[in-house]
Amino acid sequence: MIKSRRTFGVMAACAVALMCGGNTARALDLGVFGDLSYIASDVPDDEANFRIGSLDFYAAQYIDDKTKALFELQFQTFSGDFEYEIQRYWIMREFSESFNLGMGRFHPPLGYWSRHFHHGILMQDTVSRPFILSFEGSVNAIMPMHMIGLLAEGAIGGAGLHYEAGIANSNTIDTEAESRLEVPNRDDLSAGKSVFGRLSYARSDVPFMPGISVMRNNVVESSDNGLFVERGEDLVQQSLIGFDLRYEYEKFCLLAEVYRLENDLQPGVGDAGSHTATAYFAQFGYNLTDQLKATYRRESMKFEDNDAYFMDPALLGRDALGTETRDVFALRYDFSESNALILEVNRREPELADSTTSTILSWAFVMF
Amino acid sequence: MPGIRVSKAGCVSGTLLSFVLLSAMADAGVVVIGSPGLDVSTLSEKTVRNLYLGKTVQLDNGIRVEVIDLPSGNSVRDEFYEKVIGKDTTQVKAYWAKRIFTGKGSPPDTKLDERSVVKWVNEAPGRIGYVSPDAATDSARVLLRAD
Repeated sequence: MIKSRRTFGVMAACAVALMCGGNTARALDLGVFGDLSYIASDVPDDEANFRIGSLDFYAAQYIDDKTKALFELQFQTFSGDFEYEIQRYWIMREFSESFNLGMGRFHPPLGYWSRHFHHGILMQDTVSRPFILSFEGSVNAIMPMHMIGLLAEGAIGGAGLHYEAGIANSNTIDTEAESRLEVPNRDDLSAGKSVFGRLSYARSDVPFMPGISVMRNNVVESSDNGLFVERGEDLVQQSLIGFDLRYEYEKFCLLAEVYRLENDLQPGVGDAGSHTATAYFAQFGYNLTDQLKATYRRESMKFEDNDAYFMDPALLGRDALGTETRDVFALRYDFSESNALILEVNRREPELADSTTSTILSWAFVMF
Repeated sequence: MPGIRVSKAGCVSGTLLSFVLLSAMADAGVVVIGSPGLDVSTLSEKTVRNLYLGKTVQLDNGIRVEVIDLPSGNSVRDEFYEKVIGKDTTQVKAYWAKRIFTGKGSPPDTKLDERSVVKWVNEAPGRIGYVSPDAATDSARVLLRAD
């Protein structure tokens, strides 16, 4: 009840803050990001194949002199048929340098990668995202990569400090359907909300860009026939803290993110109580020429064997995989600003399954 | 009926003259201009590049500025982007597509023609634009020349 009142208070304050003028619309920006790939791996019975990657339409516009809106519609194919999903869909009002307020579906400010590269392979130096940042619905999705709610952001002073903070719907898992982590677009079965934020530092004359992220998130049962708790009750209460660092100097660049995730399994869910997990990636890049860049990335996810959030088949379902490390090597060749070829070799080493190596050649592009 | 007679030699020399004049017009140079009250006397190409690519909204001395663009297809704009920013029109469009998609900003607003740019720059402090040298009236402060 108290949580609901607080949420209402935040919403009311935002509604009042949004009642300000502004009337100059600017041109509508439209674009399409796409990628096409050829993939080969040493997984038995997995034949090399050409693959249509994601097709990502976006539109963005300043709809008056202080308000901008964006939507991103993505088509992708997992098993033959195309599926589509609105990935981002938000509106944001710029009140001042230190306070912008938005509402909608967005990538939460956890780390550097998600809020800077979004769904565009063309923006990345590797074909794959770090697996610890996998999108919802996967056994690798340990934390939400999309949120539906409010997001505030702005500068703190003029020295390069920047904040992002938000409140959003809780996440769900349908344990009956083994649905993995899900993002409810219009319901929140929990009285509580997810809260999250990031504090970062960036100046154009300083090569370091450090950031710290925090999140408090409830993962809620969405099935009427849940295996552990009733529909709408918390399965797991998560607390997350993350550190990220980007460093660029001449031809060298480093990007690293490390997270500590504390899962408080609720009574009735596996070995109830607190469990700790860590996940990180560290990526090193070097520009061999103006058009050719080499990148190496090390990734790791570790958790306790008795953490049902990871290991129960009805939750994240990593019982056949366990913890995991990955090594990724990539060569990226930019034909121009608008398209690039990326060759990636990706070696997975799950604790409880055979190691596998995949090679992907992807041609990523933007149309505008 | 009186007519105009043009010799072959005259025709060739006329064509050559037109070509030379058009080439000179197409490559007349660009000047970056600033508001009368702007507290700088010159700007470096790097600063102008960072401003027009949305990488900063401040000058080296910390002053916040706004920049204005000419519309796509304008020959002065093409020359400005080629000489000062180091990108052609297609590269600039692709660049901004990526910036918009990743939420890192949007391209500068545009004015219809050079006269409107000069007027806009002179109307308020903290404004920067670019025009051809001929369009830079006496009231415009030239901060950078790219020939």
